Amino acid sequence: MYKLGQYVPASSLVHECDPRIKIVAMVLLSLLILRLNLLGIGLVYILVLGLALLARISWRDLWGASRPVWPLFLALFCIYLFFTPGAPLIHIIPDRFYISQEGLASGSLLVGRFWLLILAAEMLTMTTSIAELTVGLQKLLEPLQIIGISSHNLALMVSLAFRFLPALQIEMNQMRDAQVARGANFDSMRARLRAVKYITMPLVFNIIRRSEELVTAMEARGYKPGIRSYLYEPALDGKDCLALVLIGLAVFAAWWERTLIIQ
Amino acid sequence: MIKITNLCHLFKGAQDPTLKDINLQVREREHLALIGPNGSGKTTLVRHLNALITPQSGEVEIDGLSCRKASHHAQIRRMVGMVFQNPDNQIVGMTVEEDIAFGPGNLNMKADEIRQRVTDSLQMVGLAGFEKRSPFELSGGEKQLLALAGLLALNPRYIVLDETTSSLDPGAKGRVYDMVKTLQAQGIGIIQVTHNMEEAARADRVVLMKGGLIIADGSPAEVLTDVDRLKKLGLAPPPIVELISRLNVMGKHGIPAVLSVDQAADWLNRKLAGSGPDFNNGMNGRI
Ligand SMILES: Nc1ncnc2c1ncn2[C@@H]1O[C@H](COP(=O)(O)OP(=O)(O)OP(=O)(O)O)[C@@H](O)[C@H]1O
Ligand SMILES: [Mg+2]
Repeated sequence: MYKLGQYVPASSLVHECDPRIKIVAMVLLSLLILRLNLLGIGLVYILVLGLALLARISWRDLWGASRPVWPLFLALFCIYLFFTPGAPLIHIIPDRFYISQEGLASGSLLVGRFWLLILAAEMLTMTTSIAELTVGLQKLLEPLQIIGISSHNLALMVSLAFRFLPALQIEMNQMRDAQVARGANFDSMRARLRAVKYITMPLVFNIIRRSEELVTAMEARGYKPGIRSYLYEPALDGKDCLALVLIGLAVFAAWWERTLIIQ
Repeated sequence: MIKITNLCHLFKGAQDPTLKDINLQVREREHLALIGPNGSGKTTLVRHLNALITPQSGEVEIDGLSCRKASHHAQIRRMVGMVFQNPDNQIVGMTVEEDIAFGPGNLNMKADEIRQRVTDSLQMVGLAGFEKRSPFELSGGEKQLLALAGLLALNPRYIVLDETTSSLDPGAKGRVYDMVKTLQAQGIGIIQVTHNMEEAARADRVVLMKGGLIIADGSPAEVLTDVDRLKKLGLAPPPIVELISRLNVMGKHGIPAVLSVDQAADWLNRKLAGSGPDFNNGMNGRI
């Protein structure tokens, strides 16, 4: 089972595609998804699932990785289902509490849309390593230097944020183990709540100390803000350009096709 | 050459200075071991060497470049590589190769040149094949080797290892030792902070610190055979050195000072065979 946002190394057309193209495609697709009706969303589902096949990612994995958002989507769906006024479809408490046609429609549209956004984002992160993502982001943001913002610094910020996620998790596990070894118990809900107090404070202090040490280590390896180079340098090739053109055409065609857009 | 003159350091809020008038020179191609009890100021001293701490008073010069000048810092950090005590906090990248690429990336090298350096330095520390692994999933010792590789990728003139080998198994320790000798042959100076006296015994020179002062500076044979002093400082002399020293105290055997089991075995073998002159350790039999 993969985690949400985890990179799945493989060799495929989608993996080898230039990260800049994938980021741009992801942004365009997201904008489009917000404007599509049910039919349009259905078509984009087919597109994303097709891309998953191309990337050799099984639908099961794609679905499984989105586990963390299931409860949220379920809750959203229920709220729309039960609380949208309109023509009653199924009565639960006669005339008081019912499922309306409108509720079913807007609930499915909303959840369908958000799920699609998640799947599209998953396709990006599953086929693109953090290194590629940061370099892609850095190249795309390069024009910002006109207004005095360094794209290299932004990209480093993003990659450091990613770097701290596993560190945070490891730190938390170590701290919990250390406390369990000293007789703490995390079995009941109450004990867990109480433990929050003993975990968060040391965690915050540790993270601050760690960041300070990381900065020192970075300086010792010659880091200075501003321009730097990367192990991975993306280069656009013919396939990448073709992909960009295809995605662009598809997005704009859908945008102007009135039967796919919410009226 | 690294030249430290009259260096003092007082941490903000501290009562006593952590470094008191340190004078020390380290040549290229020198393998220097820095030993001393906890809190004696070893880490504080070596942090001066790549300008992570700038001298409060006194001077630190790396190949003639003064660490007091901020404009020299970038170059000094390229010249002096440093591996810290805690390997976790030195990880920058999400994969092993990216982490090693961080240093060369700071120097704005081309991608294929960075790739070459990554491959070479992984090869050197014996982590070839680990390129795509997550650094966070490595063992403590492997993380130390990774930190070392990250520094080798910068082609430094001097290398500072701050208790780098403390969590390595004997095999990896041996690999680091071989590497130190290879680097030395390439003209690189190595400063190794260590609590392991057997490791210190293999250096060219041993510097002993206590309470912010250098209290001994000499060949391993000179510094490490003073068993009483080491024990008083809470440092454990190599067992073989202690054994010989005790034997001499017990029976006035006049066994020459030795540093390694090999040397001791050699001498004993000759003695038991009842032949030949005493083993010569270059110290004329002084204990
Ligand atoms: N940032 C700091 N602020 C205040 N005091 C410090 C700081 N860093 C170190 N010290 C103090 O300076 C002294 C020397 O510390 P240092 O880390 O140099 O010792 P060390 O010889 O490396 O010890 P160890 O063998 O434990 O690594 C210690 O007493 C320590 O408490
Ligand atoms: Mg130390």
